[in-house]
Amino acid sequence: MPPSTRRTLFQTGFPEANQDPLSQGGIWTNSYTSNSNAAIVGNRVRAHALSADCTMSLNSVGTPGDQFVRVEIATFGAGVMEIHAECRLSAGPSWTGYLFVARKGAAPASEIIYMNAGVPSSKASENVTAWAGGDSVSSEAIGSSLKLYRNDGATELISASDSALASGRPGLDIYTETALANTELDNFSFGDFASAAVTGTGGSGMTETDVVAGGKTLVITLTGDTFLPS
Amino acid sequence: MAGELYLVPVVGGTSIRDPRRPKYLDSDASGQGRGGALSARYAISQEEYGYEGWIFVAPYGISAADDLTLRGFADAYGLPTDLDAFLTPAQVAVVQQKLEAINLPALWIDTTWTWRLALRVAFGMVRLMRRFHDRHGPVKFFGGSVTLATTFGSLPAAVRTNLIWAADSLELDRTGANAGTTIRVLWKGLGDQTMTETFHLGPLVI
Repeated sequence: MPPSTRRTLFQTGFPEANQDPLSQGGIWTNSYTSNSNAAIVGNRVRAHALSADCTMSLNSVGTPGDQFVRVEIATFGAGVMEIHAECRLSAGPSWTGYLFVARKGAAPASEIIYMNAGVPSSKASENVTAWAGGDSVSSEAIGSSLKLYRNDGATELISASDSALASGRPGLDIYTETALANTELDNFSFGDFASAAVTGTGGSGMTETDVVAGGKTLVITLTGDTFLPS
Repeated sequence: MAGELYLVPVVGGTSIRDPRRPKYLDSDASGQGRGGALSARYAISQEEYGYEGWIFVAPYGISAADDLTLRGFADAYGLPTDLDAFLTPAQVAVVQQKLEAINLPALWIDTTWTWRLALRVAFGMVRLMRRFHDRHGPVKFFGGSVTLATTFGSLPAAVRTNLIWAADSLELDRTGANAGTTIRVLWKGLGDQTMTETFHLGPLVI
């Protein structure tokens, strides 16, 4: 697993009947004038059109600045194709955000891209990974640190540093050139990060607010205390 | 090798399949990359000068052979490894020509400057430009009627607003600037404020 402490705020396996565009009750938006939309087909997500970036962002969830997005590649068939786990997306109509790309059929295989109003700049890439169906693609944007993971590995495939965007929506993108059915994703999740566990001795001044409002993960280890019945 | 820094052109930008990236560095001699120039792919850190088409790149662990290859390209410029050395008269001439050609003010550079201090000032200007474009969008700043001699007051209102925002967000002191200040003077004045600041660019500490 990645070293960060991910806290899932939203997840879906796309259980609805077929939808084009992907909507799930209106929580997904295709708001970029340059892009097409994605669709649900057979409880998986496909592109709506060939050779077009089919991009959707979540519009109705709280969007913490530090965020992760995770998707699973259900199908990666023949041809040139991409699946993105995107972070800090703009609301539109121009396309801005951080794109974390898993690519097959073209180089490089993995890439982190800063998209500024439709103009992409490569921030990091590698060309060794052979992405395949069954892989997971996950991205993390924590402060200016951007990381792309494969299969929830303990270390990232690639990383970059960029401070252009501090917040925005999570989202997904599918691109395929040969056949819509050749590229499918499933099991989208998004969330933020719990603070690192605090170890030490809690004093009498420690309150619930310190833990809850502070967003801390409380780990309690009891050693030799006296327990009172409630 | 470690600690190599290059100034190279930016290529691409038409699509996600062809994003903006440093020329020569995003490549693979095996043909698997986007174009072969070096013998290997290197992890890189980069600092782009806005959308002017040039980028400073620091690759991790570039080989001596690839370093020579890169320095051999007419449109690439490799900086010395010893950043604490003073520029020689010949280097001053080359650096001024290279930077002025991409609208990065450099006539202030002379033999009293070390590479490190000169880079810090230049990187201050580069960082200002990057922050400006984060707000203003991906359009070239220079070109058309805008040159280093253009005054701040003659820039379009949106450009002025976003430049002020960029300077303020970087906590730079802009009190010395006014409508009659040229871009050349403005950039240098803001860049000077980062002369004592340490810049980290991948394997390099500047």
